Amino acid sequence: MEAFVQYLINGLAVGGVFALVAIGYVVVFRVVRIVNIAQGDFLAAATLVFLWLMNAHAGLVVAALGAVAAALVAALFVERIAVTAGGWYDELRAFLLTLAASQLIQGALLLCFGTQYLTMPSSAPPIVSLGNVHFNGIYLLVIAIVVVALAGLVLFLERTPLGWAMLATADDPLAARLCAVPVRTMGLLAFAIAALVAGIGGAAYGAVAIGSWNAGTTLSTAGFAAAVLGGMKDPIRAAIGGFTLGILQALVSGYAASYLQDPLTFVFLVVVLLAPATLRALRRRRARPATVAA
Amino acid sequence: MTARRPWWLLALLPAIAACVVRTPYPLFVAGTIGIDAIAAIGLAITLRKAGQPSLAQTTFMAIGAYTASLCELNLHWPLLLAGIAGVLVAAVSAWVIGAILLNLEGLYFALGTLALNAAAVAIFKNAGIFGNEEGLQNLTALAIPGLTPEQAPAVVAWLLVAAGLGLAVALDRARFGRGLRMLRESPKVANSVGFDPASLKRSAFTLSGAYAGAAGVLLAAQLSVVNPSLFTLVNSIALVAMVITGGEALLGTVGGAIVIVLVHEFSRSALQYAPVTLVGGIDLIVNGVVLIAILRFWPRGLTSLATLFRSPKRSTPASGTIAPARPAPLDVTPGTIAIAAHDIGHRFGGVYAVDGVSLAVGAGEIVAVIGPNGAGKTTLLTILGGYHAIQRGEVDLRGMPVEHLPAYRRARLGIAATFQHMEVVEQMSVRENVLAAGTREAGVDPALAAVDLLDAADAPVSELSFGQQRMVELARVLARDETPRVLLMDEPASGLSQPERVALAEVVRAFAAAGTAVVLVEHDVAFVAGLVDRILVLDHGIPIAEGAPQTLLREPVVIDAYLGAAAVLA
Repeated sequence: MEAFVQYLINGLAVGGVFALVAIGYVVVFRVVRIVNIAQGDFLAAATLVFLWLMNAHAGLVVAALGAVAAALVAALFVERIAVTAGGWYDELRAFLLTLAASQLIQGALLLCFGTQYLTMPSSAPPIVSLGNVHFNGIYLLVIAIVVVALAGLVLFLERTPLGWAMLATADDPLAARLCAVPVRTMGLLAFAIAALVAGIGGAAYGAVAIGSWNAGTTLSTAGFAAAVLGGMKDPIRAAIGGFTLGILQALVSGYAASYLQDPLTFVFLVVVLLAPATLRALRRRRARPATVAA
Repeated sequence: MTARRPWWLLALLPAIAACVVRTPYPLFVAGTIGIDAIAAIGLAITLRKAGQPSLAQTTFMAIGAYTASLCELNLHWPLLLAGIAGVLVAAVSAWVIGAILLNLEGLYFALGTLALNAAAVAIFKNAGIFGNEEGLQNLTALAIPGLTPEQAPAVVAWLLVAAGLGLAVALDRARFGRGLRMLRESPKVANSVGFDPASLKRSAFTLSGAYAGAAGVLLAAQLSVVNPSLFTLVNSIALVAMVITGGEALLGTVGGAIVIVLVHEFSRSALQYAPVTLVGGIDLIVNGVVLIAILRFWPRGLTSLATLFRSPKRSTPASGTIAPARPAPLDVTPGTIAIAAHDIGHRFGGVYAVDGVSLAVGAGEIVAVIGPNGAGKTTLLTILGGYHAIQRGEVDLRGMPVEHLPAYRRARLGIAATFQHMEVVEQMSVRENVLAAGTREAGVDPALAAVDLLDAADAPVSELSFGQQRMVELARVLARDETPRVLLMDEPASGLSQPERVALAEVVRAFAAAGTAVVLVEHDVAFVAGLVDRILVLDHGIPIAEGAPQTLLREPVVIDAYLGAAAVLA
């Protein structure tokens, strides 16, 4: 039971990071209709910069700002390559361009940070005790930050004029343009928001996991699986998907083996993608005799 | 596509060269290029031809390589037998994975394969049977009498490139390749001429898995080692870059493999004394830069060079000699019910598009469905053809229930269709558009002659006028070996000039005379009145009148619903 609670809290913290990746996918996909596979790499870049600054004793605030800045640079680079410079590409070509950009970001991270794994500087973490379960208080902080970031994003989209302009662009770029919404700026803004959540997520990930140059691939796949659960457009359901996957991964690595995390992500993705259609087909098959009888 | 010279034989040149050269490094690079080219040709079949971007090509290479190595180490099978086992297991795995993942569209498929690749690498790294990070070592090197150990992999690899290229080119020109291209450009057309989309995609993916398996087996034989780092995402993306660099033509893919491997090798040899991390980082950056450069600035890739070598356009044969096609008469009593729909109901969201429509059309009869916009005419037609899953009601084709059959199955049973939003494959030539499933090449020219398109037979469809493109759809139906039992036409006359309308009416009458039951949806009442035997009028999805044109078009209810107060037809 003790172990289970421990796994659950680990899972919620990592799942919160997945949720932030998923939200990055959702915002970009809704506004510019691109599946941005480099989203996980924004996070990996932010994580590495955050941990590097923390280890250089730059202080939490500077490190967090550095994380957001790193994600922002990466995001504006991808936006430049995949969206604006050549006009609007078809979805496959845009996707391949983000894939190429993801390779470039990973290559740059490898050149800057090498293959070493970065972790938080060792200091006594605040221990929180719940009965006889003890765990790292940072995990709770991370979960809280993720929930606040998520709530902030939803409020921004649904309660502010700028958010409405973004949603209008998402629904119909042409109509939005006719209503004097600067569509191109909205695309940039979507990437900026994706970078902001990646910066926050990167700092959070650094606090609870290991930073490495190739963490982006795992994060991208996990975040995409979560985003699909939200139909690529609902941030709240995407976040629920992220938390679910995080908890499942924590349980699998706790009770089975940690290397099964990536296979689990694959299974989760396939189930999430195919379950709705399969259920619908099953329901139709079951309904068929009834209609014949009627 | 036009030239039919066996360009793929060019791939034998490196094999011959490798028999002569004895310096190890060039031979190693040549072998690597050959191995990557085999995997890339496989990827081109699924990515280019079937439009399914797979990021798991190296996973199937890994499956082939590990299977062959395990057979060799544990069962002591000879290399050839182990290699065949590797290819087979890779192909079967691709078939199984394809059965799951090919239900996904485009990008979702890409992400699914990306997740598969990550999952597979994690398993190869950690499951003991695969030897963890170090992988399986001390494998038998490929040995061929008369060749040095360095020469053998390169020679075998390029022989296989030639064989693989020849097979892929032959399949691309055959029915299989036409089906894939048609499916990629317009699934509706592919269905309407009887191609089974799911089976085509799965075959393409299985074939690409077999190519990857062969490449993996060769890689293990070249290196005498297999380990997980050979089959990561970076390698998969390098293969994607080869296919993208190559462009549409399969020979271009081999060129892409040469370019990408050489760029990687040059960047590595330039950094020979650099730390390992630098080499890894440069590999990633090379992938990224090449992909961006090609996708942004040279999307047609190496294939665009082919125009430099293409011989000037051949003159088309004299058109006067070919008699226009006429549908062969069906063995059927005129008036026998060919297609019958009973109590069809179909909803989009909460709105009924069609509600309680029944319709029976006899052989040789021409029936028009008319009605104002949104009356449900097109929906009715797509339900008859099977392009929407049925929600309520029954459809019988010659007395046989077909409402649960997919569109391609109904097409094979004799339902032909032309579509409202014209469905032609713009990148394919007129001839290729017409030459569909169940059509012999000999049937094409007469069909084109019948719609006056013979002169344009080898032009891409995108160069034709709107009306001519509609005629391509008509020729596709005319060219079928078997006269269709039922012909569904959605607004065939819209956008046609007067002479084209006359030709269209003639073709429709010829089909009816041959015994085909024709159902057409049309707005042009004057055109309909002069052509059809019976009219069904729909309004808001409900049938409001049915009868012969001359009497029906005078009914007040019809005039009110459709023609308005000032009747056009006096």
